[in-house]
Order: sequence, then C-alpha cells, then structure tokens
Amino acid sequence: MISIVLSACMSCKKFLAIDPPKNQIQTSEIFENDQAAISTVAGLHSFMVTASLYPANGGITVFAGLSADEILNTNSDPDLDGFTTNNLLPKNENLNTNLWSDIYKAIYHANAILEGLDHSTAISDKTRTQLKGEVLVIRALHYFYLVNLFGDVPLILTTEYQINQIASREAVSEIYQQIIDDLTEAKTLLTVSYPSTGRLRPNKWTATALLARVYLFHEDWAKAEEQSTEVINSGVYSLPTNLSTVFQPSSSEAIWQLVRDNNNTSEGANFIPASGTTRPRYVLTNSLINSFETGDLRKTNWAGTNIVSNPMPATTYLYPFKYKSRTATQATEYYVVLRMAEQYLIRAEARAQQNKLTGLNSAQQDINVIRTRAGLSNTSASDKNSLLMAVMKESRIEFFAEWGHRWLDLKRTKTADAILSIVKGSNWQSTDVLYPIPLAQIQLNPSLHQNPGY
Amino acid sequence: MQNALLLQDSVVVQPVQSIFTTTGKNHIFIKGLITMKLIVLLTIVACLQANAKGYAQTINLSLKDVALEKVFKEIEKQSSYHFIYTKEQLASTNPVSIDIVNGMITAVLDICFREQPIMYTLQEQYIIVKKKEEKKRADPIEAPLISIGGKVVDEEGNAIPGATIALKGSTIAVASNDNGEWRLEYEGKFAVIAISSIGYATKEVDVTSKNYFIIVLSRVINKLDETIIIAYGKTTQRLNTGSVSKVSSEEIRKQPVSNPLAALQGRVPGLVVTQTSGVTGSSFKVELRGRSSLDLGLSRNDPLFIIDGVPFEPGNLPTNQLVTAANQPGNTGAGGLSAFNSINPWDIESIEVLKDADATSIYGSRGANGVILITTKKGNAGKTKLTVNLNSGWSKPTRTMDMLNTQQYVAMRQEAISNDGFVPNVNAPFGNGYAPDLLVWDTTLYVDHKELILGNTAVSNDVNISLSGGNSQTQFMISGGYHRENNVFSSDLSDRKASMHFNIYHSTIDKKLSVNLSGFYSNDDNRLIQKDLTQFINLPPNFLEYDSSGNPNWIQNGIPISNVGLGYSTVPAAELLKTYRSVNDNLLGNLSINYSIVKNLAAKCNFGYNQFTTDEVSVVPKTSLNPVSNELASSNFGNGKSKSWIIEPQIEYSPTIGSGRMQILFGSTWQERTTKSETISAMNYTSDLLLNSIAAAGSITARNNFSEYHYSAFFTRLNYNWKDKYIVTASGRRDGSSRFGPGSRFANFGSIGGAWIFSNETMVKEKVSFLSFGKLRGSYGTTGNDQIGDYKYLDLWGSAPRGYQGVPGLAPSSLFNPNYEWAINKKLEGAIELGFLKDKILFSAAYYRNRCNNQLINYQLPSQTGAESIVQNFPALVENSGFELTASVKIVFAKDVEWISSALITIPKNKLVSFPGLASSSYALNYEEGKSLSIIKAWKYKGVDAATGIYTIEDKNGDGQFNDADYVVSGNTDPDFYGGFQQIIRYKGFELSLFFDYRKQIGRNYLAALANNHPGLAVNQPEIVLERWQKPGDIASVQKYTSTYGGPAAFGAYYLTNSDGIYSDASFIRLKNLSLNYFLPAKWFKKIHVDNSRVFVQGQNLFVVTDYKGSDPETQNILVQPPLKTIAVGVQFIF
Repeated sequence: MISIVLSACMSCKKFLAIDPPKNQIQTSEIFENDQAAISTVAGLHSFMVTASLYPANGGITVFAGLSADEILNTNSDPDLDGFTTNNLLPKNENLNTNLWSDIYKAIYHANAILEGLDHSTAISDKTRTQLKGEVLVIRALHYFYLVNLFGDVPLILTTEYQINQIASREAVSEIYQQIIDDLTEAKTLLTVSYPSTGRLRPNKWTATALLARVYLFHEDWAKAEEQSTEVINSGVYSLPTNLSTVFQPSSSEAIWQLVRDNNNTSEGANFIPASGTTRPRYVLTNSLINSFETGDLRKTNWAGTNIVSNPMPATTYLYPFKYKSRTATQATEYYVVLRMAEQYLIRAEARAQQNKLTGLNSAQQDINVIRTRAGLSNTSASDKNSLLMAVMKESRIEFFAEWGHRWLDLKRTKTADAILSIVKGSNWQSTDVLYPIPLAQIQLNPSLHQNPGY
Repeated sequence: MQNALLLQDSVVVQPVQSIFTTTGKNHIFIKGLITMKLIVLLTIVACLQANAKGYAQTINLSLKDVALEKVFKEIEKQSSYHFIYTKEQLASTNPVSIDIVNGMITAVLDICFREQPIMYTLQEQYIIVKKKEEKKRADPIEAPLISIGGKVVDEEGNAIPGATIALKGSTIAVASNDNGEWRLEYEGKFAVIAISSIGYATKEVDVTSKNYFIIVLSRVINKLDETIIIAYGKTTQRLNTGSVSKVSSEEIRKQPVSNPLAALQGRVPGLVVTQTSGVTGSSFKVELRGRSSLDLGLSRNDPLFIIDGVPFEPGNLPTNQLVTAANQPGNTGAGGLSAFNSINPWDIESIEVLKDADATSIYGSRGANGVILITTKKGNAGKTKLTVNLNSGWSKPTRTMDMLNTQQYVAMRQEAISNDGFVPNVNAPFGNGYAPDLLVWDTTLYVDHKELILGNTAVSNDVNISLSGGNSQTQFMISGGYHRENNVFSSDLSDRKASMHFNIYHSTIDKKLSVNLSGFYSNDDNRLIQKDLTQFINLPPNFLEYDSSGNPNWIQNGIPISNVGLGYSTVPAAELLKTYRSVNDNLLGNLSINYSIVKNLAAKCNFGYNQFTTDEVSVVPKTSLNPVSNELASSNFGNGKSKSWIIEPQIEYSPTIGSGRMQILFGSTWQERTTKSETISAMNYTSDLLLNSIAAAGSITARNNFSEYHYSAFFTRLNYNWKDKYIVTASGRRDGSSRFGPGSRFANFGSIGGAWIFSNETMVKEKVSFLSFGKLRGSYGTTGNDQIGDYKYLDLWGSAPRGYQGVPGLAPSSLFNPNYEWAINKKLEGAIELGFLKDKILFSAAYYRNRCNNQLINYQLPSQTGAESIVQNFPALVENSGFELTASVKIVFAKDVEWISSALITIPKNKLVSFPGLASSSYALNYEEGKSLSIIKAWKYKGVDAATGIYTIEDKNGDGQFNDADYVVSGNTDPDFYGGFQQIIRYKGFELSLFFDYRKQIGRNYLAALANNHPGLAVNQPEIVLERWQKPGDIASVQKYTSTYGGPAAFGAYYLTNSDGIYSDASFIRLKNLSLNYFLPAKWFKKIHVDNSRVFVQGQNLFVVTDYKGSDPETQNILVQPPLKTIAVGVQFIF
C-alpha cells in the first residue's frame, strides 16, 4: 500500500515536470551563445524604434518640442495639449507610457543584458566587450533624457524588482555621475568601427559624442571641449554641404542612427501631412519661423509648407520636414540620434565658456562651420555673451524639431522662464521646466514624490 | 428473456388457447381460467428469475403461524416457482402453519390455500394468486371487470415503492410494491388513474387504451429533495452539509439569453454577475462571495467552471486576442468576448454554484473563488420524446442618456469660447477659440448620433430540437440548436451559433456496470466590428456620418473631423467597414464508467476532454481609412487553441455502519492542458480584395505563444449519515501544479462539514408540528488558487516584435519569481434551513467568512522595475463575510391557482484585515487596513465654486497643494446588498413568472467620462450638463464650460475626475425577466401526436428603476453599449 502511494507520488512529480515554453528561452541559455546574446541587444535596439512616439522614436521630439516654443499641435488631443500649454496633468498618459514607462523598460532590458553578460562564461570576450559597451551607451542615453525631463529620478542598475520597486528619486548629480561613468567605460569597451553595417549600433565615437553632450550639460566645459574635439578630429564624420542628405541613411554626418525594419521613422509619419492641402498635425511656431535669417538653407530644406485654402482665407502652415518619407514598407530613412553638427556647437559653447572666443580653435570658428553650411555669412558675435547667444540661436535652428534640443537648452541655460513666459503667457510657471512624475507611478511607489507645482 | 417481459409499455391482449406462453415479441398472453373475462396479470415480474429446474422439485417446510407471504418467499427460495400476487390480495389471508418434508408443490400449495379467501393456479413455474370467485356475474349489463397493472419509476428508471395508484372518481386505490409494481382491478367505468408519491409530482394517466403502464414520476414537488449536483456526486438540499445553490433548466429556459452566465444574474445568493457591455457576445464579470484578489488582471476572482465533470478550459477569460467592439474603450488587448457564449443555454439541465469549504475543498487548489458546475441534459426512460422549440426576439439597449441637440450644442460651444476669452475662429491653433464646427459647419443640421448608433432593433431567432428516450437500461438524448442574432449597430453584423449535444447512458441488467457518454460541440460565428460605436455618441450633432455619396464622412465643408473635438481619428461609418469576425469551436466530451465490484463498493472513472479554438480575423479595408491619410489596408489574424484532458479514477465504498450510511470516496485527478496562440499582423495591402490572404500583405509581423500545464491530485471524502439526523462530511486533497517552481509544487487542502436535521428528532416532530424541516449546518476548510498563468517561475526571454537589421531580437518576457508558493483560503460557514407547513414555506440563512492570507497575485509594480507586475505572494489578509438569506412560499388557492413567491438577499462585507508594509507598498494609495478592497480613495469633491464656477476639491492637509496626501476614503463600490425576488403564478394552463434583480451600490456616474472631454469642447454632452455654472453666485452641479485643455477649468475637470464626485448612487431594481407560458390543451394537437405544447412570451431586462446619473447602472459607462432589453415569443411542441 505504502509503495503504491509512494510510486504514485513519484509519478506525480514526474507528471508535473513540464517543458519550458517553446516560444521562449531561459536566460541561462541565452548567455551561453554569442548569437543569442547579440539578439538581446538587437531586441533592445528594435524596442527603441518599434513604437511611435517612443522616447527614441519621435516621442521626445514631439513632447519636448510642444513644451518649448518650437511646434504646436493643431488637432485637439488632451494628452498633447498638456505639453503645449505647459499644463501637464500628472495622469497624462503620454507622460506615463511613452516617456517614463518605456524608458524604464529599456533600462530594465539593458540591465538584464549587462547582468547576463557579467555572469556568462561561454561568450567570447570580443562579443562581451562590444555588447556591454553598446548597452551602456543605450542606458546612458535613456538616463540622460529621464533626468532632463523629470529631474531627480530613481536610479535603477539591476533587475532586482524587490529593491527597484521602492527605490526613491536620486539627485540629478548622482544620475549624471552614473551616465558619465557608463559612457567613460563604454568608450574603453567599444571600437572605432561600427559593429554592424552602417552606423546603426554604437561605436566608440557614439559614446564620446554623448559624453561631450553630458559634460556640457554638467557644465564641465573643458571636458566637453575635449570629448567633442575627439569626435570632430576622428576623421570619420563630416558635415555634408547638401542639407537634404543630413537625414539620409548615407549621411556622412550621422554618428548614431537607428533603423526601423520594414518602416521609416515615426517623426516622418507624425510630421509630414497626409496631403498637401490639409492643416498639418504639428506646425512650426511663429517665433521659430521668425528666427530664421533670410537665406537660411535650413528653412528651405528642413521645413515643409502647406497652404490650406478651405476655409478661406487661405492659411500657410510650416511643419518639420527633416525626414522626407511618411511611411514605407522597407526602411529608406534612418532615424538620426547623434550627429556631427551638435559636436561643433557643443565645442563652440564650451570654448566660449572658457573664453576661447575668436581666432583659431575658438567658439566663433565652430559657429561659423555651422553657419557656412546653412548658407549664411559668418557670425558677427565676438564677445562671450553674444557668442553664447549665437550658439543658442544656431542650436535652436539647427536642431528644431529634433530630440527636444530646444527644450533642454532653455532649461539648462535657465532662460526658459524669461523666454517661455512671453510665448506661453499666463499658462507658464517656473515649475513647468520639470514634467510631473506620472500619477500612476506615484500611486504604485510611495517613495516617489511629485515635482513642485503639480 | 422473461426478465424483460413486462417492461414493455404497450401490451396487446388477446384471448388465446395456450395458457401461458411467450412470443418472439415478448408479449404475454394469459387466459383467465375462472371466467371468460379476460384478466391480464401483469405484476411483479421484473424480479422473476426463470431458471427452469423442472417439476421434480420437493419442498421442506416447517412453519407455525406465519404470514402467507413469508411462506411464498420460502417456497420461491427452495424452488424455481414464482408467485404472482399483490399485497392487497394477501391482506385478508390467514396465517399458515405447515410441516412438510419432501412435499410436492401442489401438496404444499393446497395446505397454504386451505381456508383462504384466495385461490391459485399453477402454470409452468408460475403460481398465480387469484381472488376466490364468490358469485357469478349474472347481469350482463353490469360493467366488465378490468384488471390493469404497471410499474412506477423515477426519471432514472428506478422503481418507486409505496406510490399510490388511485382510480379517479372512486375510492379504489393500491400501492406499488418494492419493485414499483402494482395491479388494480375495477369495474370498467373509470378512465383515469392518479399516481402519487411523496417527493414526486402527481401524474394522471388515461387507462382506457391499454392494460400495462410504465409511469415515470418526476421528482419536483419538494425543493428540499431535488437532486443537487456536487463535486464528484449528488445530494439533496435536505441532506447536504455544504453550501450549494442551484439554478434549474426551468429558470434558465425562461430567459431569452444566449449566454448561460446571463441567466444567473440575481438568482444565486453570494454571486454577482455583471454584464460588461451590451455588445453581442460580450463578457460577464463573475464574483462569488466578494472580491478576494487584488489582482483584477491575471488571476482575477473567477470561480472554477466545470461542465459535466470537465474543467471548461477558457473559463471566464476573454477568448479574443484582437480588439473587438466588445472591448472596453481604450482597451487594446485581449478582452471583451465570453467563451460561455458558445454554450447553448438549452442544453443545460442545471447550474450549481458551490460556495463553502465543504462544497469546494475537494477541488483543492482550484476552488478558492468557488466552483460553478454546469450539467447538461440527459435522456429519460420512457416514451421517445421529440421536443421542438422555436422563438424570436427583439432587443434594444436598456437605458441611455439624452444628448444635446444642435441648438443646445452650439450654445454650449459659444458660451465656452466666450468663457475662455476668445472669439470663434478657424485659423488659430487648437484651444484659442478654434471652432470650425460653429463657423464652417451648418449649425442648423441636427444628427442624433445616439439614435443612429443605438436606436436600431436587434433581432434574434432560435431553434432547438431534441430527441430523448430509452428504457431502464439505456437512455439517450440528442439535441441540436441554432441561434442567430444581429447587432444593434447594424443588422449586417450577426452572431450565429450552431450547437449539438448528446448523452448516452447504458447499464447492464444487473446494474453492475454503467457507462455514460456525453458531449457537445458548438460553433459560434460572431461577426462584429472593431470598436464599440457607442463611443461616438458624442460626435458634434451637426456632423453628418455619411457624405453625399454615402461614404464615411471625413471632411465636412473642408474641415476634417480630425480637426474637431477630441481629434477623432475615425468616424462610425468607417468603423462599420472595419469588420471583425471570431469563430469559436468548442468541443467537450465526458465518458464516465461505473463498476460495482461488490455490494457497496464501486469503482468509477471519468475521462474528459475539452478543446476550444478561436479563429479571429479583423480587417481594415482601404475604404474605411481616411482618404487623405495614405494609410494602406491591413488585416490582423488571431488563432488560439487550448486542449485539455482529464482523467479521474475513483473508488467509492458505501457501507452501512450502525444505523447510519457511510460513503467513502478516494480518487485522483490527472490533467494536462496545452494552449497555443498566434497573432499575425498583415499590413500594407494594395488591394481590398485580398485582405483575408496573408500572402498578399506588404509586410507581416507575427507573434505566438505556447504554454503547458500539468496538474495532479489525490483526494478523499468521507460522508456519514446517521438516520438522516446527523450528517458529517470530511474531505481532503493533495494537489500538485506545474505552475509552481519545482520546490513548491504540492499543497494540501481539507475541510469538515456537518449537519443536524433537528426536525427528524422525535421531540421536535411531536412538539413543533408546524416545522416540517429544520437543519443546522456548518463547515470549515481550506482551498487554494493556482490561476496565475504558466511559467511565472522561469526567467524567460521571448522574441521581440521586430528584429534589428535583420537580426532577430530577444526581449525579457516578464519579471520572474522562483519562490512563490500556494495561497490558502480559509472558509467558514454556518447556516440554518427551515421548512414550515409541510415545506410550503422554506427559509434559509447562512453566514460565511472567507479569509485569504498570503494570496498569490500578480502584484503591481511601478514601471521603474521595468515591468507592470510580478507573480508573488501578497502579505495581506483579506476577509469576505456576509449573510445570505432566501425564502420561498408556495400557496395553492382553490384548485387551479398556485402562487410561488421567493426572494433572496445577500449582504456582503469585504475587508482588508491587515496588510503589513502597506504604506511602503505599491498599494499604499489604493487600500486601507480595516476597509474594503473596493474603497473609493480619492480627493473629496466639494462642488462647483459659486464664485469661479470651477470644480473644487478639499485640501485636506491645508498645505495649498492638491496631491495624494489629500486623499480621503469615501465609501466603496461593493454592493451593500443585492439579490432577486420572483413571483410565479400558475392558473390552469397559464404560468406567469416575474423576476426582479436588485442591487444597492455606489458606482461611477457620467461625470467619470468627462475626464478628457469636459463640456465646452467640440464634443457633444448629455443634456444633464445644462445645469452648469454661468455667473458668479450660481449654485450648479456642472462647472462652467471651457473650450481648452489649459487653464483652471481644465484642471477643475481633472480634480473632479480624480475625486469622489464621480461616484454616486447606482442602485437599481430591474425587471430581469418576465415569462408568460400557456400550455395549450392537449386535445388540440392530439391528431398530430403532440403530447405537450406551449406558447410563451419572454422579456429580459424590460425596465430598470434607478436614480443613477448615467446610462445603465450595470455597465456604468456612457461610452459603452448598455445591456439589451429583449422581448421574445416562441412555441414549444413535445411529440
């Protein structure tokens, strides 16, 4: 009798042992194999461009562009209007899903890869080093935008959900330190050649270029100049004279591009109107349009025009037109994350701050590189303040409707209050420089506290 | 051969010469010896065992003063002779003394029949007892003496002893013997006999046509003795130690519903069934005895559903992977469609809801949220019956809100723009007075979008045919049904269901081995669209849905609809072109084999199989897309298949111990389930003609899922019933489930229950005569829950939706937790059940308390963890307690009027007893210790500020900031009480039944829908918003209109929608069902062999009495199609 019961129990145990699911793989198996490990990094890249208005796929461009004085939405959409009017409600769904949650999902994915790589013994050193460098760059990019949009944020570096779920917000400086550490390490891990065809996965100069930007934001002028100089002098990148090729796959200026297999960029889909006679969904603000100097090739190359004659009187609308293709079934345009023009402007600002104002290796010289390409004459600015102003202006025009550059610049130079209170009127409050922490997140993590003003 | 002789239900009686003979047709011909009158003796023959031992048998008897019957038995024991007699014949016989050795049968009989009022004749091995002929019937005019006989059986073909067979219009009556057989002689002037027995419905039979009758009595008279299906067995309410509620086929049949869950609404104490949407095929939320899970996603609160012993695989989970009109607005994943829609309510014999530990513990890990058993119909012994049922119904949404007309809408818009300090214009960006709806569109146009979308009548047609019959050994039932109903949105959309069901039972003659095979197959083809059009009822009333050529209207007077209002990206006319079709195939079969090894010991094995497949296609043709968008047509394909088998071998031993009956059950369960699903998203079609072809797509992305689940268990149950007074049940189960990590796969569950039927105590019987039934019962035990999804303990990576540069991508599937363990629910119950005045009044009251500790849930996480949730044990104690009361009264007025009134009420209470670490958990803002899980924790709404005209909320801590520190708890959304009451009146052939469903509760009102579309935007509003603030000093319920999302009024709407101001009374009393039946007089259709026919009118959800501010208090969302009210008419014929 006992033996029957025992054997029944044994067979019971056997019966309950099921195979793992056929469509999934266990972590322990993935990091036993170079190809599978590379797939995890491919998965992270594809995650960054799969969804429309994902932070790295037009999300930051649109949301931060609306918050600044660059673009306006013409359709009514409560979740977008909050950005335009700087009246963001903490329950705004774009904020919660497209910005906060998607960024942390990517960070989790990155952390999972980093842990997998660290624990693995079977992967070749070359692959391990390369992948780790790439993932560190991606994690740094996401933290950079988190800290700039939300201020203090939880710093998540592991996959341990027990710890992560109660993590509270870390000071901005702590986050920056982590970003700098990650990028510095990535620089040592990555090679100057790109790991795959094109410039679609980070190389050493990608890490360097991002590091230059981070030092600039951190106001470490000397290091910002040093890093941007490394990129400029690498000899890999150059500013094409034809502006319409800047955002093409073959762009000589691109430092890091992303591709959406089977489709083009989400910015193209969002910005380019369906027809030539409809009111575009997003239009350039008058203040931006007015800031173009006469003859600026960037206006003719990168802004599109629609004339809507019904209802009369006919109205002309300008919209962002850097990417030329709305949709496609095969990728014909790549999304540009980092490009050379920024490195010149970073260096110009860093040099101006260090009083390297005119002459050889000066701020003025770097600004003129950008102006020349835009078909404009050299800048007349020569003192520190006017050179800094000139950098701001070039940056505004060069990077309009691109990765929220304008919003971030207004914030870091602390000019947001002065400039936006005029444009936005009574809707503007000083506390609007930081987005609210999404309500749903505060509700799920009592250690998170709201930014002031919300 | 002879065993079956008299089981024939028609016997041809003819005078023949042979005295006792049989024919190949199993007919018996008997010629009376004494008179020339023909007497047919058809009695106790089923027990005759004719083993011909010949005549040369001798008998030894030594008896003194014993009853004649005893002598007969002794003779039968010693010989192959059999006596044919009735008890009545022996009633006046004298006792016999006999002492004989090796006596011949004739000698023995002569002694026995000496000086008796009866005589015998010996024919082969039969000794036929007859009344002694006293006098010759001289008068030829006198009615002839007629002898009839038969057998009384129950619906399963078992004999009913002691039944009374009375000749109507006379005082002549006899009782059936132990084998249910009876014989009656009378003078031939009576035509009808009435057969009655305690516990059965009295039946009248016309006896003019034949002489032998098998009479099937149905067991319904006393509710207490109705069969109740329980886990692995049956019982009655009288003897049950657990808490089980039954909904019978009769109650289901009265309701013109296509989903069996709909038929349960309000009818079961402790069970709340809520319809989520009125869209055809949409799902029902089922909550038994309150909410215990904090996780409304994965594991939810669904009971375990078992159909004919087989777990119904999809359960109450949604069947659709693609988005359909049944989805809630904004829900873009699986959801909305109910698998129960594929079950034909006509095939259901009963639905039993198992609630307490005593009833559910034997289901172990799956019984935590209760168990719902669905039993399908079976055939009965007796005449072959053909039942045909036809009905048609007409439906419309129940309750909707009236919307503003164009004039009111335009006034609202103008007021809003002026409130914001703008003048209407057509060039400004949104929110700066941009109002093409006022300036460009014709403001004299009026389109009632609500009427266009919800105003149609949906028509349904239903045919059900069944054939059943059999004899005591074999019974069968075959049925088929077809149901078609179209949709309120468009009559082109329809749900078509075809179903087939069968049941075959067979047992050997000695009843040692019996086999029951049952099964059903259904095909549900639901043609819907992808969006619930109700979300478009707020389109501006001067916007036309179709353009002049009948196509979807995208641009009116040059202004695209997408520029207006909420930025509508689509219009209802286009949505009607985006079709969705879901085809569900549901196959369920069960084979049960029962073998009685020796007396009281039976072995049984159930084999079950369920396969549920879903095939979905949703199509977005080019014609449904905005022509200026350049978007290309696309299709989505979804496939899901779940297969499950279960084997449950069992042994049952039922000895008699002392004066009690015991039942011991041992069994085990082996179950295996695999589920597979695929979704394919096919995009960029260049032609609308090939949208159903995946190959024609420009690009394709696909996803698949696979999971496997194994489950095994050993269980036992012991039941002891002492003289129907004291009953004890104990059960235990050891469960193993593959859903847990290898270290924590097994767990034990058990329960004990008892009942004391005090009305069977002699003292109570004597002293309290008006009390016909009294029972106290109680139970305590544990159950568990493993409904958490598969593989949650494994650290897995899955395929990313897209690759990158042609390299396939991998992404972490979800967080994993290798350490979670079983959650145990503890259930306690006590109840009293009473019957008064011969059970004409029945009353029951139960108190239950379910405590769930350390429950296993999909614990919500902040996104910073990279995921939304993790499966883990949750360190909180949740208690559901409550009272369930039921009462019913049955009154028979005069002769023909019967009135049955019944009512039930449940008073539930939900409480989060303790939650260590609540303040630092993900649930800090959702819950409070000591309060319900459904608390409304939000800002305190303070009304519209009379000075500013804006919604205000209370700054509880007075810090000038409005944040979560200001949240207060204002009540909860649990029902305070709920239930139903029913009135049935029967008069002659009429039966009228009214059933009301009621609920007292607080719910989200129409204001909740104003979160992002507050009054004043280019979005239409319910008329109720006319009560708005207009000028300082106004006391209003709606804030001032505003046309923007910026500014204080927009914030006011945000504060309102996150406050308790969006909750208000949502109590209701609904006339859930009205059913009027008329049984047509039998003679009408006698010629075409119709035994029974009726016509009926049924109404469902006919009206609702409520103060709810919104559309329907059940769906609680003005942008969701309300449930439908239906009127159906039909006929039923039984041949």
